[in-house]
Amino acid sequence: MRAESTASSWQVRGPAGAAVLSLRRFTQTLSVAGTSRSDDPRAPVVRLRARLRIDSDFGSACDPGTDQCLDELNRSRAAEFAPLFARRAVDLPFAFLEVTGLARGRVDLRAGRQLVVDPLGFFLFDGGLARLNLGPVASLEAYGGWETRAGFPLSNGRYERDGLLRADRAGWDRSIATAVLDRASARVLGAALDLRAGARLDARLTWRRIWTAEGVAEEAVAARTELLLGASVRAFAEAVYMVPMSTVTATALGVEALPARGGRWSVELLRVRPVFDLTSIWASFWIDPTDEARASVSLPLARAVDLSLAAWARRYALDTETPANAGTTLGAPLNAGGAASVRVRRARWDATLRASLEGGGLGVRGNADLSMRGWLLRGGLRLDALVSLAHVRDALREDRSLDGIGLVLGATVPLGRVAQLSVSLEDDINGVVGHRVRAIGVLEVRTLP
Amino acid sequence: MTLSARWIRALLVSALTLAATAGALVAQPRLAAPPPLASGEGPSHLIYPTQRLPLRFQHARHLAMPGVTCASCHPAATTSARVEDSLLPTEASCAPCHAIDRAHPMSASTATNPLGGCDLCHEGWRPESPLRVARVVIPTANLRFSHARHAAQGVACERCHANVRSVGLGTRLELPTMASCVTCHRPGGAPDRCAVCHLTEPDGRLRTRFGDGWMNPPRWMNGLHHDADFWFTHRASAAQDGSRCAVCHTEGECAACHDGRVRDRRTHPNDYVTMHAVDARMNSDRCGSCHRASNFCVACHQRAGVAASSSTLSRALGRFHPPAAVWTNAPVTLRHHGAEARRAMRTCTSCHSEQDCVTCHATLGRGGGGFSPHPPSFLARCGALMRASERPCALCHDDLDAVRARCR
Repeated sequence: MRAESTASSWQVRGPAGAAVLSLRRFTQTLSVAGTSRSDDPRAPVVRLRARLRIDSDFGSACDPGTDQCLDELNRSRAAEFAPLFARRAVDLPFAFLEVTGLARGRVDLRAGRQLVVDPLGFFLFDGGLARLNLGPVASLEAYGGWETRAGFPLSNGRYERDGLLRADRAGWDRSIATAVLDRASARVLGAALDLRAGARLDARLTWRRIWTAEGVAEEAVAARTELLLGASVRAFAEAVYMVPMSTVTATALGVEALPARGGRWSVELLRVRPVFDLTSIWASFWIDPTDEARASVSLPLARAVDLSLAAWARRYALDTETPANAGTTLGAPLNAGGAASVRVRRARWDATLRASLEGGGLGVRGNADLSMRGWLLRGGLRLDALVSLAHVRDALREDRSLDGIGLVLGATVPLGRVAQLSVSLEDDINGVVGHRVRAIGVLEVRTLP
Repeated sequence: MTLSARWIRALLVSALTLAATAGALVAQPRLAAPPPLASGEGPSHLIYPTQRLPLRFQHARHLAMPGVTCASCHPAATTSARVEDSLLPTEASCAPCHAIDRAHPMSASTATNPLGGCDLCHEGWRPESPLRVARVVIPTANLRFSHARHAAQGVACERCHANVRSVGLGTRLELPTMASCVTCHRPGGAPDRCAVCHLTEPDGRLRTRFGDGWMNPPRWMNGLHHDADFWFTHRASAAQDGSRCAVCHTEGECAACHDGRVRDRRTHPNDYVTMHAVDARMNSDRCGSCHRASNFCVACHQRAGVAASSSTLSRALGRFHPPAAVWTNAPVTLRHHGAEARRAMRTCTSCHSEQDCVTCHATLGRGGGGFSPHPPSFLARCGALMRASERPCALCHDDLDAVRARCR
């Protein structure tokens, strides 16, 4: 078991200039993890994983210029009410029981609130999942249940498709915050086929359908293949197809080379079109894809020292369709960027120096930082430090452009064998908001060291 | 387009991506051995910590002698069940061939006793201190391993210690790398769970931090090596199969970042709350990997007075978007909200609800401005979307709307 208590405090200044939010947040998590043990390596393994979280926000929304504070939770004062804000939220990020290796390794089962991570993206649901391992070359997976959605107890709706604002409206006056819809349960069915050929091939074909009383919120198929070509070249391809939209919403193609002298060279091409809940209006709006080409190289300079360089270009393909009533198109604006990082990892300390810059018609964003961690007193004290520089040019709102510097100092000390306390202090200075300080404290307690 | 036609398209997309799969399955023999190592990586220093071997020895010469096998000198190698067991030959196993004369250590050099002198094997041995030899240090490997179980399966020593017949002193370099282990430990073969060999934490995850540093997947393993760029590129590996990550990481670690409640300073440096708008405009889809615009972003934008649904008191602080002459009115340029929406619709949903858009984009019959938000090719596929859910159609088009009837 592990418990983590995090307290933090900071201020946010609204885009119009006044500091309107003075936030103090306390987050408490309680996690349980258990795994069966056996001397027989072929014996089934039982795993239990659960996490409960309480997020409490003690902040206030006050304008220091007028000393006026919003009564943001008071529904009877609709002019000040912030409908999706809650002082306290309790949720269950995951809680499941899993048995793997049943029937001589042929069957894996999992039940509870669980996360699926695959080419269709993150997905959280309550239900069951079964995997049938069909020998060394294939496995079949099926799952079903209810999507974890906003507005329900112990749920925050994080992994829902974007588009609709939902909450538990029970007890709300029908005339206030009409943009916030009442919660709606959604059922889900999914299946996946995994194919393998030794270490040379790994492929996954997956399908998922989510539906509510208002219709199909998502139905998509995705395929992804990883292929090892020769001794040192890996390639992958991925495509996601939204069935009701009759549209390919994501494609990716990548090649990675591992030269004999070490290191990794890779090129990746992506085309992504944002996807929304099909029961929302956004799914039928005109949305153009974004193309991205990215090349990177990662080289081990010495034992425990890595260098990574990356360059990318992003093209906003506003020229895919021409308006029927217009002779001109908007073209395809471009952004380009690059990044470099050097990381040193030793047993008692590590350090990373990173720099990145991206710019184009939408503005410029640059960042450079040096982060360091060191373990002192035989691991009894960990010190963290970060210095970062930022440069932002906002082409749409020049008054939001800034240059800034940030400093972070932190320390982590063990409290006995089962607990540790971390504190960090962050100081950010920039031309838009001036001087801002954030303090964070984390207390972590475990039942086992 | 009919339902079956859409499914045919879906299957075509899948088939294209999986074409390589089929070809490779045919071309590759089942249970193909993993590829030869291309990365040049030797045995890991974390798994096999640095050794100190002040010894002289010729494996090649010994194994070339008639009747000499590995077990002649390492008799425990076939019975040892724990990695902590020392399999280094003792003096007793050398003595049958080497006339070691412990009774007269002062004359125990190879000059007087060519096959039994201490300095034959012990580097740095000096006659003036004949009872002192440099210490041999072979730290326990950070693994679980049973020589006995492998021997019982008939695995020959050289299957794992491949070059031993041609080397002098056996060093870390003659210990097996993971690439050689997975020639047998693979799906359908010997047990292939990582924890069969690797040490684990109490909760079953692999132990990754050792005295000499952090364990890292080898470079040849499906793009899983955590190099300096990995925090940015790990999507490609995680999307293939999230269970790969769960070998070392808890679901909590994924959730901690990807449900957007913990701020990662590598992604969100400096005063990111003030800077984030430019990043969101450049690549809003990347924001979506951790934040759902329609509740995470909206909730804060409402409070900060940015969202259209913010309280009227906080909205009075000022307008967020550029002036209406550029942002709302014709002509449509790259600074117009129509272009921004086509390019980064997710940023719209971080402040706006459907109602905000319906006000202008609904048909005249619904009381809107009649400005169509659909792409020119929309009529060709609106029927399928309508069959999926008629709710969004009904927000802008009334039941008798001719376009809606055409889609139906």
